[in-house]
Amino acid sequence: MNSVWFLVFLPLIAFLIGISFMGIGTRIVARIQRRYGPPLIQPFIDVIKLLSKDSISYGWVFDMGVWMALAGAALVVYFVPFADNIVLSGKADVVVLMYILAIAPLGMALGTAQAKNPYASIGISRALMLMLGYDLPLVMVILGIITYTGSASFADILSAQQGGIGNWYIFRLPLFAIVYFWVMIAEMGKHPFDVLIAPSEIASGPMVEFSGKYLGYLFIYMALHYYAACALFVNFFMGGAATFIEFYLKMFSVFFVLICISAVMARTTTQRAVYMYWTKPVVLAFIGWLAYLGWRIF
Amino acid sequence: MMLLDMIKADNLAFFFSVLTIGFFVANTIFLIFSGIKKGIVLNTILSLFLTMVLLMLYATHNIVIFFALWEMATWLTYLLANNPKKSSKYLWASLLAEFFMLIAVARTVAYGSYDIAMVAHVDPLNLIMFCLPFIVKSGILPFNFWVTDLYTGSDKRFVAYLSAIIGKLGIFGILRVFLLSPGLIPEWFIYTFIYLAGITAVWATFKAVGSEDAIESLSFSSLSQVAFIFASVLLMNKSALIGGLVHYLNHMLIKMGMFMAVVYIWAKTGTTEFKRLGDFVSKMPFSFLFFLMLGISLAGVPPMGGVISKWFMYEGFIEESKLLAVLLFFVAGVGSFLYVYRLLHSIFLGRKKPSIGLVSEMNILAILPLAASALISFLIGVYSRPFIRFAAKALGMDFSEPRTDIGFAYIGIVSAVFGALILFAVVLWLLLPKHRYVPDTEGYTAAAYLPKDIQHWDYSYNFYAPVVRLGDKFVRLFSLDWLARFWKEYIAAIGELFRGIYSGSLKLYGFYLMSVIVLVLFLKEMLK
Repeated sequence: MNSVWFLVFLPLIAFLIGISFMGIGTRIVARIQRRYGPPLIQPFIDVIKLLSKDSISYGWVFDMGVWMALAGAALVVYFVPFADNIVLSGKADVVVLMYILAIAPLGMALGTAQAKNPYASIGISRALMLMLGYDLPLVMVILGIITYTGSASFADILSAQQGGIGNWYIFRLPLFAIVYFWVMIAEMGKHPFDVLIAPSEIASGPMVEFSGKYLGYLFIYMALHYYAACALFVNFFMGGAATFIEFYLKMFSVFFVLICISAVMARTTTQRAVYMYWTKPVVLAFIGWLAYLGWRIF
Repeated sequence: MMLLDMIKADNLAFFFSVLTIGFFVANTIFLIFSGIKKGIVLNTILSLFLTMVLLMLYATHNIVIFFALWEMATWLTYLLANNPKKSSKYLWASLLAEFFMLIAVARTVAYGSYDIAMVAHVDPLNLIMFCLPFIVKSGILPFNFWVTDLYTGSDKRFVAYLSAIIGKLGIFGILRVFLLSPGLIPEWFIYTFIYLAGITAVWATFKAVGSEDAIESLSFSSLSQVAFIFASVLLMNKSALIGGLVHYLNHMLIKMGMFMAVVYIWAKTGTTEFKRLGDFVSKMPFSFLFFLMLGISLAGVPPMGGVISKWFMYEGFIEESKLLAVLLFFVAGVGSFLYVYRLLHSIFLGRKKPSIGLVSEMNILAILPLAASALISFLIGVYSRPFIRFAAKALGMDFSEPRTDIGFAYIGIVSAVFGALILFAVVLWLLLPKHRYVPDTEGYTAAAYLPKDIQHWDYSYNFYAPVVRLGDKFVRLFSLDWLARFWKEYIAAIGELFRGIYSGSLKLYGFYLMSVIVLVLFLKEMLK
């Protein structure tokens, strides 16, 4: 599968996976709330519709922002192992990947700022503060994985989990898996950490001034982001996957649990969310570290 | 003797000299052509003196000359800051540390050598005393108490020099001594100051995030980055050392360019407060573009140079299993996204303010140093090999480590793929249905009418209020204001005691005299 064509179409495949999750996720939430919900392909229809409409822009930084958001999100896709394909991600270093993950949000934030809408600025400020909150436990987990594996390379992390389900890090490092999952909820902007979008407070925050193809680009970015977040969990904690079907099912299982938890939560405040991430998951990750060190000693 | 020392200048001296001269030339070009007229002549002459002193400092291996030049650098910095009240903490902290350096110099000379390489051979205490001014100059905890006053109170034209060169002088000092004394540095000293540097980086990041002023925010950002480089250099790991020196170069470029833009805005508008600035991109598009590139590099986002140097430093810390340090510097790194975005948002983007009427784009000669710094920082990101070779040569290290080669290939791939994806995004955007540009008054406002006074329809004050509230206790604890207060009260109490002794009463003086005589006699009896 490591052909040039596969590499060219990898972002498209990732987009289709991500957009399918968006559709299914909306439907699951609706069913939990005893509603029927929109059709499964509604997000896909939305993207096509948005890309085919005329739109308005506020200047060249606004344009550049969406280019950066789309290219940055697609770049992440190339460096996250996809099923048995680790072509570019073979040399990927987890530390650098964490910086690559910041390109797309930075692009969106720049575009947003030129639109000058205070709701958008508040949304971006909240997103950045939330990132500062969840990155502390996230780095503790990533460092734990690197230390346990003895390498920062994805190829090594995946090979260390081969040889049976018992080798998956979700069983070997369960506390780290819980903390990572906790972080994922905020990273994907889901309840109760959807403070950056908060439609009833700040009118969808960063996206308030985007329309037409600009909003379409951001939808694609969101789909790619959903894909990358779930794929990272599968690669870090569920041993990756040998086939596409296995990869999809594992990713979907992660997304399903996440969306079910998210659907029954109410939105918290930014300060409380950041404080929570600096306390509970940090303590949990710390216990995970102690457990790991205890295991090493004894 | 000094001339002979100059001739002996090694690769490390060459590295620092090239950067210092480059900075001085660029900064002078900017000051001359940017139209900032007031006080330029005196500033430039003093900067020239300081640059010459630094060049001699880099070159010398003679411990006495090194001390004398270090002292001169401290005084010239004080003069250039041009604010005696705000620079007093810096001066006293530096002079106190230099007093210990002088003792170390005397002990080394008594040991029988004038060579800086022998400092560590005397004993560990001698080394620590000699290194104390390096720690103070870098603003590492607990010597960060002078930073706020000097950076915020200094002459604005000088802050770039302070941030890009003087603030990093301690890094040169540490390298000069440590590289010549392998195996003689006490481990507890290294580890203590690595973690103190980590806490300093987080503290400075919080200060930068909470700042409402562009110069102040950039200054604290400098302190945070200097702490990161300082810790990497202390670690004495190959990857961390190379990463540290590349980051030194990259950060010098970043701060040079960013300060130039902000100082230019200050010269034109008279303010650097975020709430009074906004939408300067419409008047200064080229300055914004270069400022953006440098900001991205500061945050460590590919394809700019920051990612390379930071990655190498993290690799070094991970190799040495200093995971707590990685955690601290990573938190500081994430914080850099916050203040970089704030700078971009509140100065160049955001809502138009009355101050915008006072600015126009810099002329081509003034913007040249800004453009050069952004482009070199970009080059470090996409083709870092010559820069890393330059740093490795300065350190006298071999350059053929496999991990390093993988690093080049990896970052090269990141840049190439990102470039291709940007191209794809632009082409697709051009092919899709058309768009039209509208003024910000025609934006969507959540079904609300825009206020008449549109400059207030803005979010640029207290931008990160929740995080500032959460980090307030931490920031106050490590600002060491409580220590300054305690010290002030302690001195006042001692003064009060002495004031009581000198009461002016002859009877009391007689009593003191009798007491002393009785005490002496008593001790004499006891010691028999």
